[in-house]
Amino acid sequence: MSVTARLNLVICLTVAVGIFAFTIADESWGLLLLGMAGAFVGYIAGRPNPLAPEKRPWALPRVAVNLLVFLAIVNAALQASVFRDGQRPLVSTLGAFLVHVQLIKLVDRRTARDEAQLLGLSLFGVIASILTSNSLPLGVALTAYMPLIVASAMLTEINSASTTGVAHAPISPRSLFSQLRRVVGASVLVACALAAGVFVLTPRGIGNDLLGALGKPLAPEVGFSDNARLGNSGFLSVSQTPVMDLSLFDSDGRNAGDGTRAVYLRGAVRDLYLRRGQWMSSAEASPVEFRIQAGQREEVGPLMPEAGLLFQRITPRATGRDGDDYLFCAWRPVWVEPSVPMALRVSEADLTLRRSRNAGRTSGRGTYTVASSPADLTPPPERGGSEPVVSNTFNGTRVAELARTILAGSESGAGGGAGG
Amino acid sequence: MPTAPHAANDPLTAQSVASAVPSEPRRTRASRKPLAKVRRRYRLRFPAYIYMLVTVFIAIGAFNSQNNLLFWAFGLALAAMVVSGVLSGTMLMGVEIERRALADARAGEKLSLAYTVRNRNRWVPAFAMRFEEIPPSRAWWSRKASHIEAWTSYIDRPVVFVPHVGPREAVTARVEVAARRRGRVRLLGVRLTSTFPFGLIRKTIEYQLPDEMVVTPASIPPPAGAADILGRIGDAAIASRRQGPGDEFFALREYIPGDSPGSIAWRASARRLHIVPPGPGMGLLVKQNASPAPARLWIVLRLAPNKASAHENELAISLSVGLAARSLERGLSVGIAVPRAGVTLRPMPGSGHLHAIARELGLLELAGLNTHTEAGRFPAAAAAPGSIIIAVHAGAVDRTFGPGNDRAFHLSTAGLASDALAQVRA
Repeated sequence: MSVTARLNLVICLTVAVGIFAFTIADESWGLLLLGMAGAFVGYIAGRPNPLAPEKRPWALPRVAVNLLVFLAIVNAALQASVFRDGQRPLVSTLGAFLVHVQLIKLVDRRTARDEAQLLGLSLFGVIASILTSNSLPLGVALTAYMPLIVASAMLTEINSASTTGVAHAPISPRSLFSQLRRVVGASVLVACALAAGVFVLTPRGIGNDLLGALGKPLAPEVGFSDNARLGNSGFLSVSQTPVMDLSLFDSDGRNAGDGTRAVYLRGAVRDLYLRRGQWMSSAEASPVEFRIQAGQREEVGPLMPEAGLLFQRITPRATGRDGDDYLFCAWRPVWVEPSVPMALRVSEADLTLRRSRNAGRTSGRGTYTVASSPADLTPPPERGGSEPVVSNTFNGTRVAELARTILAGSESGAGGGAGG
Repeated sequence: MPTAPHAANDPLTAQSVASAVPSEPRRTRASRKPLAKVRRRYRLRFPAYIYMLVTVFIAIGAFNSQNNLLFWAFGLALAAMVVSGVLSGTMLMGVEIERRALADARAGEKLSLAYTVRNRNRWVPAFAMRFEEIPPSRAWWSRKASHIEAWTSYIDRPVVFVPHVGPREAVTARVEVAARRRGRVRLLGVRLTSTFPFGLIRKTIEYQLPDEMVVTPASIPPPAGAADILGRIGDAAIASRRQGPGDEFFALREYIPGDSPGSIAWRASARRLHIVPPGPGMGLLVKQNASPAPARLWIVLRLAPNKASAHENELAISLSVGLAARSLERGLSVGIAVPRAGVTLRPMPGSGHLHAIARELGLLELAGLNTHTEAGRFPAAAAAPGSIIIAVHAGAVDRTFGPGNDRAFHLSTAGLASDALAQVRA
């Protein structure tokens, strides 16, 4: 087998494994099928002609390539904007775009540079898969991918003069491939050993959550978010990781918490159930914004005698994800008293409390105290907003039944400890 | 045969070979030669910057998310960079290069060069190496080198790619480049570049490897009239000064038993017997014939650096080569003289002599010609009696140029066929 033929085989395998890695990470089974078929077509198209080995393999006409790339760009742009599913990460859209471009590039290999670009695209696709998931099948795919990409890169360099017209010395393919295998094997082993060293020695904990969700795969997460799709990150499960520190007390300052009972706190309000496991808020946002100094008490509801109120002092643990600007409370909030200055936005429709992002991010773990009235079940005053809507698609579902059961089983919200 | 940096002088055939390198003989202190100068350079390529950017991006993602898979990917990215540097460095550390010209080339044709690459590494094979000649402007080891007339004006740039050389093996790669015009080609050194294994780092090794070769002039066939003259001269042969199988008388000698009776010179023997008593050879004399010798032709090249253009001078040189080639084909002994350059090659027969003539004319430098009037006089060696003279003039014919008595034929570059002119580049 000539160098060109071997390169074609290894490159197509590399691209196929890279696409496999991304599609299983993103669970895009249609794209997986398309990718495997495309890699096979690319392999067939890229085989050198045995009668004219110096001739470049078949390639799609330029016009067709440009058109396909244009369509891939348009598709990616639409997926990322107009048709964007609210929960689909941008990295998944980019990864799918990379898969499309790789498939086009497989049948557009005219020079050695095209092959190098193909490998670069494949590598980017694999990085996208790492950002998307960290499941075991992905790990297996990456294990197969690594020697393939190394061999492809080396073969591309060896074959680089084939399209330039530069005179080259004859080779003995058998000896070349045998020695190349050894070099690839040694390189992979050494790289793995060095990577293991880096993996062990790299300090952990530095820069955690500094840039939000960057680099976080779709894996089960712990914390509060106002933006989640059920089933997108695996199964719901219980975690013992604390996300906030909460103390409950009554108007006399006595501890009202109890470690044996759960406390249900209210953050974001999502009352409209869409299909595909997604919730959203039916009420239009009409927040009122307050600027509160540290230690200042701001009333957010009708004043009530303190004897009937329940007080929660909450210190959230920083998460850096969407939804970390919500303030929690049990039932209807009456007033809020933060320990750090903040701009508070109160939604009059559903009385959700949020820090205003316009005022900048509050540094540190700002503790706040919320007084809430467990007994007050009156709806908020209407201000032109619509009635809370419960979608017909929600009623009667298992989720709705489960919610009713939980709410029926809960009491006034008194409890102790921190909710997870 | 230049070798760099310290290759053994083991003979390798010109064919492409891959063979074990013989062990290097132990050298004594006295015989140790200074190593050729070698310069190594490392340069990051554009993809390397992209690669580093991606690595930083992965690192940021890993630190931000504390995702172990990203930490692993970050480690691999760093490790690949290290592997790339170490592997290519080790690979090129043991590579040696040797260059030789397989033959002198004629202007307008191809110059064949052979590059023998040896890998002295015991374990590490060498891959994907590109060799090219270093132009004088890039010769870092000497300021003088940059003032040498660039070989790039004589030949195209030789570039050859060697995909693989196994450990302790040698590979020879041939490359043919167009020889554009005649002259002395001074090659200075060879540059090896490789981006193996990942195309991130361009590693360069430059070997100082001086060598010279000659691009001989293009050959312009003589005009039809001159060819006829050559034909007539070629048919005539003269007796040489050596005994041989010709028809002309050479000398007499004593009879040796076994000599053919037909070769006995009876009259001369009778006269001798009349004077000298018979000796051991019975006093007989045997007639010896002279060896036939080809006619001697002198081509006298009258270059006129001041009066004729450079192109005309080049045409005259090429015409002289064509004339010499045709004459030697006809069996003549051809000598050549270039008075202003002080070049004189005595008449000799054979195709080997054509190579000597072409090489001598290939080395002529028009700028170095003696323009003094005395230097342009007809050479005395060519004026010897018995030889035929053809004077080749650059530009207009000067009929006073010659030994006198109209012994010389005159040829001029004027009126040559246009396709012949196209072959010559000033």
